[in-house]
Amino acid sequence: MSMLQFNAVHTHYGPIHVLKGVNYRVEQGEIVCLLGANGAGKTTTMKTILGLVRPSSGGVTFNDQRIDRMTPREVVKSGIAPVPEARRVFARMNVMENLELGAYTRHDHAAIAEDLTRVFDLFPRLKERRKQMAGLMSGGEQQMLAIGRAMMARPSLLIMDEPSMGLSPIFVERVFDTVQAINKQGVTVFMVEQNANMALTVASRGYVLQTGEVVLEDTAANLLQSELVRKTYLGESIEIK
Amino acid sequence: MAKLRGGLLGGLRPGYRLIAGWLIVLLAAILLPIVLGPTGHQQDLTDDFVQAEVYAMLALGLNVVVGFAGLLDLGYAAFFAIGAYTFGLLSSAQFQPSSRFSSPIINWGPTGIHANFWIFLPGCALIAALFGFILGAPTLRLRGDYLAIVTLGFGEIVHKTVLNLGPSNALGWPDITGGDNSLAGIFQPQLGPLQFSTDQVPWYYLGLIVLAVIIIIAYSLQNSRLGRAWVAMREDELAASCMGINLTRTKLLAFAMGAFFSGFAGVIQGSRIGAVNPQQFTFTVSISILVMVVLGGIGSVPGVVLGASLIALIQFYLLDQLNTWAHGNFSIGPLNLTYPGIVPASFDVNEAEYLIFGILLVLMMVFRPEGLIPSGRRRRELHPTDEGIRVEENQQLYDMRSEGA
Amino acid sequence: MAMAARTPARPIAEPRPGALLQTTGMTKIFGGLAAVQDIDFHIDPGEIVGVIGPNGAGKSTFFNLITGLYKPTRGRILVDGKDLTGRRPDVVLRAGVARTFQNIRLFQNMTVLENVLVGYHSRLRSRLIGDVLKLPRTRAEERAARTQALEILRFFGDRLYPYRDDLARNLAYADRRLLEIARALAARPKVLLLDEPTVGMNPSETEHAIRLIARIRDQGLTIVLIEHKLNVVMGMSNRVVVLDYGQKIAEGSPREVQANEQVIEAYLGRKAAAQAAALLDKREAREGAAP
Repeated sequence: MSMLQFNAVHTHYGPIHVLKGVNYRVEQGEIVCLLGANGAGKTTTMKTILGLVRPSSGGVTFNDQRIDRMTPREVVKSGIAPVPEARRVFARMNVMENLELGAYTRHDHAAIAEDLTRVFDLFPRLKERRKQMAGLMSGGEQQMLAIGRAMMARPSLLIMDEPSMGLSPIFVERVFDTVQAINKQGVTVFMVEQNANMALTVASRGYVLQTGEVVLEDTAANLLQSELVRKTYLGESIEIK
Repeated sequence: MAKLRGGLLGGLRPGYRLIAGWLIVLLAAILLPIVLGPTGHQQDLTDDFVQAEVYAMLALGLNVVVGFAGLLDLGYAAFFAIGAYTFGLLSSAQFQPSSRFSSPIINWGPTGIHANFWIFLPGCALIAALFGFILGAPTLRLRGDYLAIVTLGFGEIVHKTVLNLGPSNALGWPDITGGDNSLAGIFQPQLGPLQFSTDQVPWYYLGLIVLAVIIIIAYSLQNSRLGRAWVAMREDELAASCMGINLTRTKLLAFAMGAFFSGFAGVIQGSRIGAVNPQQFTFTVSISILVMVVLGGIGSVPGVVLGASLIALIQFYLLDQLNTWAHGNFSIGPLNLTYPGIVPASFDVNEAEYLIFGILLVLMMVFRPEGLIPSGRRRRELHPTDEGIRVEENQQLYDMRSEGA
Repeated sequence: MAMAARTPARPIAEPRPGALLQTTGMTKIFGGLAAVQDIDFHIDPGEIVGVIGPNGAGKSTFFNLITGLYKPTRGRILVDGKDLTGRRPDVVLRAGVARTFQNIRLFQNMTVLENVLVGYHSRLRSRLIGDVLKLPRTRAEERAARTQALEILRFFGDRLYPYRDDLARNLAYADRRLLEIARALAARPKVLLLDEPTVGMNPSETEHAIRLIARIRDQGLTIVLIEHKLNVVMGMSNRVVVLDYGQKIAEGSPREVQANEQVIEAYLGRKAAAQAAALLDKREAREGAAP
């Protein structure tokens, strides 16, 4: 069984059919990316995983446990941590407080301290600024903080919503390097991205979602070559390196 | 007057249904006192109806401030007071100048000042509007709670001012407003052969005409460039400013128009009753008007008229009914029940008037914040789940309002 | 943010003749930290100037200063020779500067058409009496505004016009960004400030936006563009200005900026710099001129 699995999931908002029988799977240790236009169902997918939206039919399992009936709190406790779109750090709290809040559902203090050290190793810049108010940091630094905060929940699965959005090119590189580094440490990653270029470089597999249906599922390498992906998500003027 | 109205309606183009609806209401309203003629209750019921008309004018005024422009005003009774007292001072024996002056607009002499009602009806409304500008000016940089507190303060200032500038006031000044003893003896108008006095029927029809004009103006404002600016300001003040909307002017105009409407109400009320008293302009009055607006539908012209009517109904009829029922007597038509009283004999349910208003306010906010007859816009704001998929898809993972720029 | 200038401030530069929008010595200090320091900026009619830099470099603050949301601590803003330093946002708009926002600030509960009509606000001359009494001149003005607003929506093809009576918040994300631009255009500005107009758009939506912005430029508008996407900045700008820690660290043609070591270190990174060079090669081939 896959680590995360969507089985014929349908979701509705009132009469509107959003997700139409989607099947995803994310295996342990993978980086999987979800491509799709805004309005296709990517955000709904994220919300469904976190328990913010309940499927009208079908189920979502995580490590063989049904999570589509859980509250967001329970979902996080079971090992899934979100990195929201546009960072959403707690602007009025400093870096330390943000990170500590990431570990909110945990009680194993020794391990939490260990994780804090790990996060600071991963993001030395955050260590330098640990007393700084999150709202005053640059977008790239906030993204690092958001990832660090998610890591503090010691997740086995990290779900990321458009991590490169609005970041300068140099930080885009850093974010994806970070994702790879985290993945090497054993965390599975499921990410939604517009920057297909970068996403498919780090991911092993990907899905393409259009108006609520999965229209393409393949290895990252194949997706980079696919006609559909090139036309819609890669654009003409960006070189693929 | 007719030409004016023709011009207004011509530019409006509301749905035909809307016009038809209002015409039916108008027809019923015109017939009302006539129908009541033979019943023997004509006078006291018509008195209640005129009171309801005044409430409707006030609710429509507050609706401009709170509903159209989104400015929470908790001291609206201040403008009501200004309209009433300004007219009262200019149209009574309160001041008795020794010199004489005579003109068609106003004359004065030892018998008092006689302002021409027909000129000063809109005139005092304009004075109230001026005060709208004045009282609005300090609130311009304030948002939400702070705005509410300052307007509440102004409401209190006006109330206390008219209360304290009476006989034997602390400043040693002569009696100006009559204070708690009321400013009485306000003169009543004359229209040709018709002398307005205690007969409520002429007042009713006068009030109906004024109310109709105010309703038309309200619709007109709503569907205008200014109305659009108010909505934009409500939605996002910063973006509105960056799009060329002068926030100062737009906010002040909201206060001024709101005050303008209540000016009319003040003049009619003062002249009709013949006296004004500070008790009519307390904070609880401001809140009552707010309840009318919330109950009927914030931002909705027909809604707040309905809200005002319902509050009048509660005050003049329902509370007494509840009182009778609570004291062990339930009768409708032929049905007549008596039972032991639910409340102690000395308790008058009328005392619970504000308790009931408070409960109503809470219930409305929890279950139906858009009001009984919601404005189309508010209903969409408050119940977005009916809308399409894109709403949800375009929201971020965590639905939080962003901070300022 | 840089620490507040303990170093003596440079004397403020003289205004350039002919520039449509310029700032001289623009400085904004928040509580001891300089968000923006000594920025001299100019743009000539018909240009597209790209403003790039790391997040937190002061780009949006710079826009906020120009449009009157913040009052400068020091420095001047001139629009078409007129001094607008410290004036209110609606005054700046009337002088010909319109903007979009990085975090979309549409009037969510108004329709697409109504949003654009609000953009027209400053161009309508009717006063309160006209509004209330619905005078013929007011009605004619409103009709004309409506017609022109619909024209603007049509300019955006089938992205906006078919949804003109839909609420703004119901639009697809990319279309909401376009609507912000439409609303700004309604004010008939001389200069358009676009704050990350394509953030969140996928590549094909971005391409579409690029074409639209080019057409807007062709209509005679002058554009200042804050962007992170290389294909937008390198592909469209006549000049690029680079901010970092509130200061201008580079300015020049896209080629010059892309090769600038400081810029590469602070902002682009090697990989992106190489991508930018490739983009510029393509652009040169396309346009037949050095970008």
